[in-house]
Amino acid sequence: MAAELALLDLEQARGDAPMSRFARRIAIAIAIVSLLAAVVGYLQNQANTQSGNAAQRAQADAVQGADATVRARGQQFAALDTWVLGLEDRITVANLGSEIEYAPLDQLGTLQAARLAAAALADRTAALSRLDLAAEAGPRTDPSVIWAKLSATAREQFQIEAMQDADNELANAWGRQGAAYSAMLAIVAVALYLLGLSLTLDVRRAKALVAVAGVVLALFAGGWTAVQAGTAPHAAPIEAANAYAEGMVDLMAATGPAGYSAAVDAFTKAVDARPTFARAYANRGSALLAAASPEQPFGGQYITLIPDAALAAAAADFEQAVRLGSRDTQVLWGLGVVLYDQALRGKRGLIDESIGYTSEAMARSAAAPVPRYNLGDALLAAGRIDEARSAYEGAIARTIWSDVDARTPRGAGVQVSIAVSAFTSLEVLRAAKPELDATISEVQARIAWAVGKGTTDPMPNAAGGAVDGLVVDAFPSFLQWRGNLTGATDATILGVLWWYRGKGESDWSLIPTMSALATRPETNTGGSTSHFGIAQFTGVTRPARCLPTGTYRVEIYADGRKIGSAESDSPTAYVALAARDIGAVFCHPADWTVSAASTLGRSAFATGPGGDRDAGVMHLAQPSSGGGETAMRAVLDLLQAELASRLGQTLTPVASGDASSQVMSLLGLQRSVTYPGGAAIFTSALDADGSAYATWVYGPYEWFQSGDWAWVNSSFRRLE
Amino acid sequence: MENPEVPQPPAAPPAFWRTDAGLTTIVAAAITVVSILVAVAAWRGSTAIGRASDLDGGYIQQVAMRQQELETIAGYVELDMRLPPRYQEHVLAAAQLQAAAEKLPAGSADRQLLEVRAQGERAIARVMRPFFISLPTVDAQGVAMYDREFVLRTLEDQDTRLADLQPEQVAADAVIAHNQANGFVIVGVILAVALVLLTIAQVTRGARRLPFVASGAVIGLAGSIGLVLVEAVLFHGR
Repeated sequence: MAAELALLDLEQARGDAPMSRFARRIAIAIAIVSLLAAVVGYLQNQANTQSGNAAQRAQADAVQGADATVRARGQQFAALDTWVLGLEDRITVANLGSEIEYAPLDQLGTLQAARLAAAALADRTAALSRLDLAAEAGPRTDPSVIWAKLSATAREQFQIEAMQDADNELANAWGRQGAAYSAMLAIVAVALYLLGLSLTLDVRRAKALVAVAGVVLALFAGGWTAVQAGTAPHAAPIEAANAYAEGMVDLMAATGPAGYSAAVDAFTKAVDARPTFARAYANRGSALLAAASPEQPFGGQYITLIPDAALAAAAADFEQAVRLGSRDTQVLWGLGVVLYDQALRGKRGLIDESIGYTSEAMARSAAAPVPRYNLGDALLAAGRIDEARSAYEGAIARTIWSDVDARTPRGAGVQVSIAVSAFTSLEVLRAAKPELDATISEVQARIAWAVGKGTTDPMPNAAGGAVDGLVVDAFPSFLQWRGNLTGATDATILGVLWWYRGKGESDWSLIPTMSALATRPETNTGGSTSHFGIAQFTGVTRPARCLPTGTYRVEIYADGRKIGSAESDSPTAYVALAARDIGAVFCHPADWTVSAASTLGRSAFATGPGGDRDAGVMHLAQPSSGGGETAMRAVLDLLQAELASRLGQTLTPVASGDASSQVMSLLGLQRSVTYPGGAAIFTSALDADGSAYATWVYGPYEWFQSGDWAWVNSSFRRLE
Repeated sequence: MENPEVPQPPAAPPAFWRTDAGLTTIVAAAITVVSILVAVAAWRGSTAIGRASDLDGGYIQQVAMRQQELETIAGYVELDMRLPPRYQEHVLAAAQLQAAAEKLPAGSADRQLLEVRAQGERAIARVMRPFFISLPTVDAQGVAMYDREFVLRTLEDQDTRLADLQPEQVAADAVIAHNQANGFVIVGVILAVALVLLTIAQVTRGARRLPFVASGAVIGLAGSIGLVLVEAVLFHGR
């Protein structure tokens, strides 16, 4: 007030007209708004600086990420190199053992010394590897397990990836703030201009209009500034990146529900620490599906068997990832599939959303057939039949060719695997919508015929054959169908689809690894049916497994049309003993244990709980010039002598003598022997290089009477 | 009789906008509107610049991430490439030992030993096979061949993450955002010119102000249309 009076005195002293109240108020307003402009300018500068810093960090993260990738690769190289070298050393020890058996006397001492040295070297080399697999199967560990273990070396890479993601998000957030402050500065400038202009106007109404507009804009800018300043972005805590890296390592190393659940927990920590972490949500969604998926004996995920709650949780995570800006193909695709599955379970309203996400995923992966099959299924479920057919045609072309324009064919196995997966999805749809039965059969026929023939030409109408007397034989390591096939020619595309239903389950799942779309059946010359086909399982998956218990169904298709089906229950659960070192695998009862007496590079066997029965396989290096049958008999004699020694009993061959037999896909000999209280079966066959494979099963009579021995004996397979 | 004096009707007041005061009010309103449009243009321009800047940074990051992904894939192949020489050593040794054995008399101890050694070398090669992503082919002479380019191409084709990284698209989007930002700047300049003209119109009186009012209004209108075009029509990326 004093200053105002002083100003008035000054004006009067100069003889100027006194300043009006309006002008004084506007002058004060201009001063305040100028101050606001300075504040906003400061905040804008801060925001831009923060945005630039975060963007710089993100770029630095990208470079460091590349560095971490190289480092992780180096560690993987070193670990794997050492591991393989150790394995080579161990096999060398076994080889020297074989050489000693055939070495001239004057070389024996040298070879024995060399063997001792190689054994010491093998131990040293194994100790150098960072892979500690003693708790698992030691040197016989499947390479897939080793790769999973090595995923830990990528932890830093994942952590940096998460930090980069967070820095990008922060840079964007600060950038948005900077833009908002720019807008406010512009508004403040306009307000200042209007306020200033109002002082020059002599028309009351215009004066008022301009002044009020200026004040309103200034107030608006002031309020917005306060809101923005109160919601400044914050850097994500490092815990989020650490938890994300942990989750990624868990996810990559997981081989079962426990591992996937650990990944879910880690991703949950990541999103708790950083609720805007789209990637963590997306990966948690995937981990949730995997954790809730029933046992995966065939190496795939059964989304149809996942409980509703897990499906909904995964959908929520994928949706959250998309809401937070993720447009990753896998996320869009995953969300499309999960929504589709929910739609089939009664939430019909989700089908259009599913179509939308699947279409987007499809558009982002031009060469991928699977999203197109998924889209076809969703369109079919929505009753958009013509659009579905078009999607299926696109999918079929991409199943056959990796580059449709250049007509670059995919591998035959890949084609079948993709087409068989499409069959699975269509069966799920058939179960949910029986009214689509005819259309689905037609689509399946089209897929089978086109992929089998490797063409997208129109399908002819002629039926390709018939089958009767179809039966299924389920063994622990393979499945077999037998039947009387008529009307099929060499040009007929015969499809054999194998299905599995676990005990107590109602849904069938297709087994892609065993099914085939273009196959030629064997002629069954000695059996009661005219044709048969075998689908090998043990040794096909990694790690090797034996067929799980349940019911198996075969469906035979001729030129895409189903001509027969049959089913059978499998025997009790068996466990695979995979010995890649000798290139062999077999199935044994779950309560048997791998014998410590197994020798790397030479033998692998498992023993029953009472120690009164066991089964095993041996690979023997032996002179290839030794002669076929004589060499095989010598091996049988060796097995017989070893067992006699172990049992301390005399073994008596059965009267019929040695018989021809298929042994590990080779033509060999089989010998049956008895001893007081039990029996044994030995087989031997020669590999192409003259080395011998030998197998045995032995046990008490009651075990032989139960028939279990036959399941084990039928399961010996080559493992390459 | 004198005609009574007929009172003249009062002259109709000029239209509001024809009066100085009326026009002043209208111009003031126009100034307010154009000022706000200038602010809007500045804000949208700033946002577009920010977006363009983000996309520029995103481009660099995508290039880096793509390179990282390609490096990872190349790393797998390089890992594969480290094994073939050792693998070939064993395969070749087996072939040579077998050939040497076959030159010796059948049944001789030396021949038997060489044959067993040859099998041992094959056994070592066999344990190495599962560690390959793509197993080398071995010709009749025992020479292992590894098609690096084919394996690399196959792995790259199968990598969905690689498909998601599209730096070229991001760069194209950045160009669009930069162009849009330039568009807003141009619109802002046009609106500022209109503002200057309207301000001159506001501080002048009489007939002299009319050309300024008219030109200010026309340019202001053009700027407004330009603002709409730049915002919604001309620059659309993905």
